[in-house]
Amino acid sequence: MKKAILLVLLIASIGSGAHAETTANQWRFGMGMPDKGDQQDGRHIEIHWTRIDNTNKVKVAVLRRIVHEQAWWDHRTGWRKAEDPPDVGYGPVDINSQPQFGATFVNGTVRLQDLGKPIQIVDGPVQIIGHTFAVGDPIGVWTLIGMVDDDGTQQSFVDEVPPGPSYVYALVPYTPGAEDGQMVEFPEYAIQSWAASPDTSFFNLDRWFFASLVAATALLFLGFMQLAKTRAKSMFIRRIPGVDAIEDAIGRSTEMGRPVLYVTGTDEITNIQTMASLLILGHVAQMTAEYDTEIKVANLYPLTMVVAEEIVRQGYSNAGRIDAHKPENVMFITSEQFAYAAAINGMIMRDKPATNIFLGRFFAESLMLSETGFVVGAVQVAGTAEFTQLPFFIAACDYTLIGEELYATSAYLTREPNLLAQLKAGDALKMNIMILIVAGVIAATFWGFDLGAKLMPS
Amino acid sequence: MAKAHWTERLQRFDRRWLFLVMGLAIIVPLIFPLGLPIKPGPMTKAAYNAVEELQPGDVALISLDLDPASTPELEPFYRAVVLQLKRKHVKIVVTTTWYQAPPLVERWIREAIEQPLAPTYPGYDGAPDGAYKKNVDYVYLGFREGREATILRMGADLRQTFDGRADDGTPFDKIPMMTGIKQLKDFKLLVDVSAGYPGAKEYVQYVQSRYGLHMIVSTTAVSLTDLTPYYQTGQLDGLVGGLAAAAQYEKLVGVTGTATAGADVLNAGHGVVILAIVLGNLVFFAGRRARKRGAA
Amino acid sequence: MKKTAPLVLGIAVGLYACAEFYIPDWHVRWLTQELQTWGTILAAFAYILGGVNLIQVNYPKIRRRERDWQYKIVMVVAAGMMLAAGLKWHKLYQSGEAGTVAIADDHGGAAAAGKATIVIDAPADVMVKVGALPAQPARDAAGKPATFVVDAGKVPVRVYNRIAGYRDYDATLEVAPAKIATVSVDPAMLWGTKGRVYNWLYDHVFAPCNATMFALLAFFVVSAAFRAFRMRNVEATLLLGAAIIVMLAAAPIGAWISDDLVDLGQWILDIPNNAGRRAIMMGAAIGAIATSLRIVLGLERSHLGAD
Repeated sequence: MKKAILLVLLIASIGSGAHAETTANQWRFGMGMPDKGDQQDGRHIEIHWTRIDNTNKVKVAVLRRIVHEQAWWDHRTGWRKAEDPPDVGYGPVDINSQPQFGATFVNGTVRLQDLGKPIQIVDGPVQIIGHTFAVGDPIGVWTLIGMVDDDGTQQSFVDEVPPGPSYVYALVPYTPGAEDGQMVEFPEYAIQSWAASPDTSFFNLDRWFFASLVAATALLFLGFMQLAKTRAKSMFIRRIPGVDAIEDAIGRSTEMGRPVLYVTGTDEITNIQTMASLLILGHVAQMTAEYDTEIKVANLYPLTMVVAEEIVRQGYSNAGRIDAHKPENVMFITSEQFAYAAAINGMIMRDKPATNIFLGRFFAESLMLSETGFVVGAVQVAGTAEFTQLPFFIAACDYTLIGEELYATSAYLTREPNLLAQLKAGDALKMNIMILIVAGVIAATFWGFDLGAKLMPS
Repeated sequence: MAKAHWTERLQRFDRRWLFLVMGLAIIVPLIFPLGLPIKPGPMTKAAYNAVEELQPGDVALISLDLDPASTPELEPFYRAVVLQLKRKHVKIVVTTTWYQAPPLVERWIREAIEQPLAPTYPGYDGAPDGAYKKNVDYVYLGFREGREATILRMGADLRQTFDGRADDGTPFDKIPMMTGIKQLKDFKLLVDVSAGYPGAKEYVQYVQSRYGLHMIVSTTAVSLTDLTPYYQTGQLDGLVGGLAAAAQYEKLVGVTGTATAGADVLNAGHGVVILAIVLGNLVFFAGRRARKRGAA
Repeated sequence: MKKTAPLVLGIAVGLYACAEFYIPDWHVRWLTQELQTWGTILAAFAYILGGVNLIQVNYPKIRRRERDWQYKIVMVVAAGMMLAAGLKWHKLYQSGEAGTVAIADDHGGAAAAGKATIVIDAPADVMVKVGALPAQPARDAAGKPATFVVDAGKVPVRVYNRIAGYRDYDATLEVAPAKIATVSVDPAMLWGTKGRVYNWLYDHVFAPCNATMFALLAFFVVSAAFRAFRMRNVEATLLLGAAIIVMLAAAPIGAWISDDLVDLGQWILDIPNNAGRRAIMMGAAIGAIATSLRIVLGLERSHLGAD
């Protein structure tokens, strides 16, 4: 627990006889923000406890009630005033060996000084005999939120609550019946917590490794950008034959007088592979404009089509051929995968493009498109990071950009030192990850240490 | 004119003959089944056992993330697992993350959940299943747009994701079996019948690890390699990949369905692909030999 | 300005999207969900543009009678039909209850004490389910309406069409002893995505076409296998060998030949295949991070279009 509000020893100060032992009814109890990073969101409260005397084999019912410290909206009665007093007190609750949740408890007014005094009943006592309780059941002002096996060791429970008000928890030990949710008796005192509201954190520490990965990429990126300014010529970038082939293929299209077909993949613009494809499209459109070759762009989603149209227009504009741009050549076909594949196959068979470029995220239609393209004798360049479709593209296309090559292509085509720095940064990061993998394997093999789990707790 | 050498004739081989053979390889075994034995593999057995561990009255979620294209591969598993769940009197909640799926899912619910399935399997002699009643024994949540965002929301708050209502508008509060079901982790088992994206991979990545869900998956053969690592790491309790594994699942459940009939089709189909590879290589070597002869 | 404003907006939202992953506070979660909802709304509006584009692309081709123009008509009409079928036209003319109930005294005394009679007046192709009794057609072979003698009190009655796309009658009737409740129902046809026309088009056009396209993959695979798997060198031969083993292992015949073959196939998938796969995925993930950073930091601007 990152930040326990308070760790207390709640000791039963009342009662005698059967409960006179020093450790009976003593609990070690704490509450606060949960350990898991994504639960530190101002909507979760973790409570944990240890029953010091664990001779009774019990389960513990966890109950929660809301405390409205401010005026609040009740959907049945409208605005209601804040509760008076908001401090409901905390401590033990005498429900020993009772066949019911008593009226005092049910009403929630269980301050030590209130015990035994008459109070206004808003809800009657709740019988436990013959009743099967379920998580979510209301018990007077309380809601049953958990039924936890308590073997005497430290137990913890994370509760998700609406943000805003404060909450009070009660832990009620009970003897379980034969069926799930049955309570036979309450052999011990219950305890009630103080009022607390869920806390929040500003940084999810569980994700520090991811953050450092992004930060390292950004830093390496900026570092290589600086380096590129002074030593651009010495920065070696290996050739990517598939990308080099694009320009040759467009030249071939021009010679043959046939169009270039560009497919932006089968996913929405929110997918980074689609974005990478659209970035490359700008360069390809510029090339086709320079070569005066027609380009047809097929899109599965209208939003992709809208952006692709702008990008192609920009490509033509960069080439100084905006007049040659035909907006109707950037098409939204359909959002249905196989209808889309059928339509593109139809276009391939009718228009017989000399170059097919399939870049982005693809699924089962990958082989349909590329085999059809092969039949009409097109030069085909494909690229995807979708692992299951790579074998199909490799089998049917002339060139395939595998995984990261798809992302590198745009930078590679610009030849701008700034963007080439991205490739160098990626390589440097990959080296670091390789070192981490080797370290992780050694740690796991020789010391049984799970480095991955430490760096990236789930 | 002299007859062309066989190597040259082989190079001119028309691939449409292969298509015809493939067509026959699919149709003939359906009419004349070979009936080769089916042996359940460990991943399929694990999936079956995960369902067997459920108790009467438990609630399982079935997410049907598919479209009609994948039905031949995935429907046999769906029917077999529904029979298994129903004969164990497990309550079922059905949803989908594919926008194309709802009419298909609704038909599958009418045919497999609302009607007894046992009589549809000839020769089935296991425990019978009953007709499940809407909003009593099963709940259909329908479809919500948002792909992985929807899956994430279901993990955090199922009621908010579906506005607290089943697909027919009945509030969850009026459906007794939905008591205590607030988020995905409240289901005893998640059965994902997944044809691709969004599907099993997104369930594992976004909610399974985060909430420690028990989950089994049936998927198409092509997606199997994508999902096997999740079975190896224990994130999936079981994995049924493709028609072959669906046939194994049918065997475990004790039924003879379309996957069992399709097992022979798979044998023949895979045989034709191997034949195509062999033939392709013959053509390749024949061409090389012809080129060498020409060069000499 | 035309490029600067989207660039600034893109950088702001991009940086927010990067940061929100690390901030657990629920306000941030809420804002992210709101942004995602906006994204969905934006994408929905893009469909209008998509529709316009569809007409822009196809109408000139139809007008100019370009090659295969007839298919363009089929496409535009099909898109229009699906759109029309998806709208809930029945809301314009349907209202009130799905059926009416008339209660009369049972003068004939056919019902025993404490019993009531329920008569369903509905067309013959409709099914009826009353209480726990099995479902039956609304009329028998002679055309007589289905009649049920039930215990008086609350009785659930459901009248529904065998095929999807019609309005169900689903109600709980409260009938007193010695009364006849006549339920008149004529399940009306619905429109929209749960309607009859949409469902018919889905079942009889979309589903078969969809399945056919996917099934074509078998032929494309055999064609690619014939062409691409050549024993050109040692690596290609190894690949070919591995492919044949995995294919045999994946088919039921694999286990019939030998269990070791299945194990070997699984080993190939689990070890060498996974090793390559993970390397590709890691490289791709780094590439994706770098590309995202390029866009978020405003270094890449080609997606912003023309000035």
